[in-house]
Amino acid sequence: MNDGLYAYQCQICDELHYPRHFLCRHCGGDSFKPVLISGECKLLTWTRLYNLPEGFQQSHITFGIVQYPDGLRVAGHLNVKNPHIGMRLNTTIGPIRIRDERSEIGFIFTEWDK
Amino acid sequence: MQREVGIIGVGHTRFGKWDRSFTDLCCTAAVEALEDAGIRRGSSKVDQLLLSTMGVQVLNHQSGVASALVDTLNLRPAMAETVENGPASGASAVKFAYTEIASGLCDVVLVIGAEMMRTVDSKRCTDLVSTLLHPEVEYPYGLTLPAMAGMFTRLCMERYGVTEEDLALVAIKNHRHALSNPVAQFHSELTIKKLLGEGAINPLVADPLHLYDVCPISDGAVALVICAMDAADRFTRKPVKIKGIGQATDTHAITEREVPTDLLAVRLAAQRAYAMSGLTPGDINIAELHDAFVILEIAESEEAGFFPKGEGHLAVRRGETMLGGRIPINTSGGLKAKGHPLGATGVSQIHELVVQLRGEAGARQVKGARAGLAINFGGFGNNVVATVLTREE
Repeated sequence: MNDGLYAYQCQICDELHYPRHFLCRHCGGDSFKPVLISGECKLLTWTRLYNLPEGFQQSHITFGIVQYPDGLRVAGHLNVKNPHIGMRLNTTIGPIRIRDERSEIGFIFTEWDK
Repeated sequence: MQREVGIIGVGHTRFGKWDRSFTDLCCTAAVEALEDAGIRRGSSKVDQLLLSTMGVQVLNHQSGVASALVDTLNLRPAMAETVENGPASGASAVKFAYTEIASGLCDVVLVIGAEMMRTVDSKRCTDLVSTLLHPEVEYPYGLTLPAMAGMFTRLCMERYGVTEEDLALVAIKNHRHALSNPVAQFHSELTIKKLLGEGAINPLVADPLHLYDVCPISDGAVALVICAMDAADRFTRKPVKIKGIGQATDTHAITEREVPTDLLAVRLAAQRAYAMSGLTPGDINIAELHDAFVILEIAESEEAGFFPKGEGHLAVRRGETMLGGRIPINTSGGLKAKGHPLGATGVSQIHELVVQLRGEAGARQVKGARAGLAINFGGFGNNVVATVLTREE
């Protein structure tokens, strides 16, 4: 059972990181606490990719980069019919790829449904 | 005391499809460069061989190739190493050659940049290049370099008014330049009608990028003979001077960049190369920019200081970046039309500057060219090397 994906907050200066860094990019600290990434976000940009790499059988995948109210930005799959920059989105977690017969999970952003 | 460094020999295979071995590919470019420099075959004048390649272990199932090349080229006991910095491997290899000569460790270094990407199918090749992306938050999603470029392009369209026609104009220009470059992969003229007109065969690759906005998959090799300026009179060619080198890195995950439309590492690398050379963007007569996706040529032309931020596409519309324009960009055809064998590209960009600064570029010659800039772009801009070359009187 998956319970979400996390950003990493420096325990010295509170700087939020995603992805995880070995050392805090602000103060150099090496101790972080996980912060669940969830809720409403806005679409910053998107693309629909038709030439997929090895390991993906779909005809295309739509990708987006979203921004959260605290400024954190995240890339993931976009499950939206007509994406447009600035639209409100929901954060969901789901399978993004099967590798070595194992399903990998990641962010899948969907239309905002309050 | 630091020594000055110049380029005295160049060799370049035709980019596209290579049907022989990786070794033969490298040696073909190397022999041409050595002969261009007037170095007799089998002489012991080469102190070091540097091979620039990103994927030889995966694509050709070979390792230790630099050492093998020294042997087969009969350059023993020259030192040998391989340099890997993603698609910026080529300019990194030239940088290492520069430092080895400037420090006095070597007098003459042979740099070979090479890749055979067409040994595997396009899905495998796309996967190899995608391993440049962040292994936790980008690569697992199926994100690729074209996907990153597609998202970057959409932002530039939204913020600066770049249009699909602007992108097409860059592709048309670079294909036109490539027509007079015998080593270019494509020798085909493009038109707006062919790219964007009704019935155009130009499918979306990474919306809004179409097929002709993206570089091809290529095989190819390029070689340079680099030497100390104080040793150049031992050779037949007048050296083109390496006047400045700058390099900078940026965040690995692009989501962490403060301004998503900035290519900060390009800006810093160019500024550092200008500072070392004592030149400014206004002194540059010709530039080879890393147009793996045509939007990158536009964005890099701004970051390199040729045009204000957000106005590179307007300069393209005015024809300022074509041959005969104020600052001709990618006279070789660029990655878009000349081709993009990863490890060879940075070396190829410098090859074009050398040919131009020697005045030997034929129909694509930039008249009176005295200084050139190359931008070699690694990852999606997380490691960039800028090189300034000058013609010495």
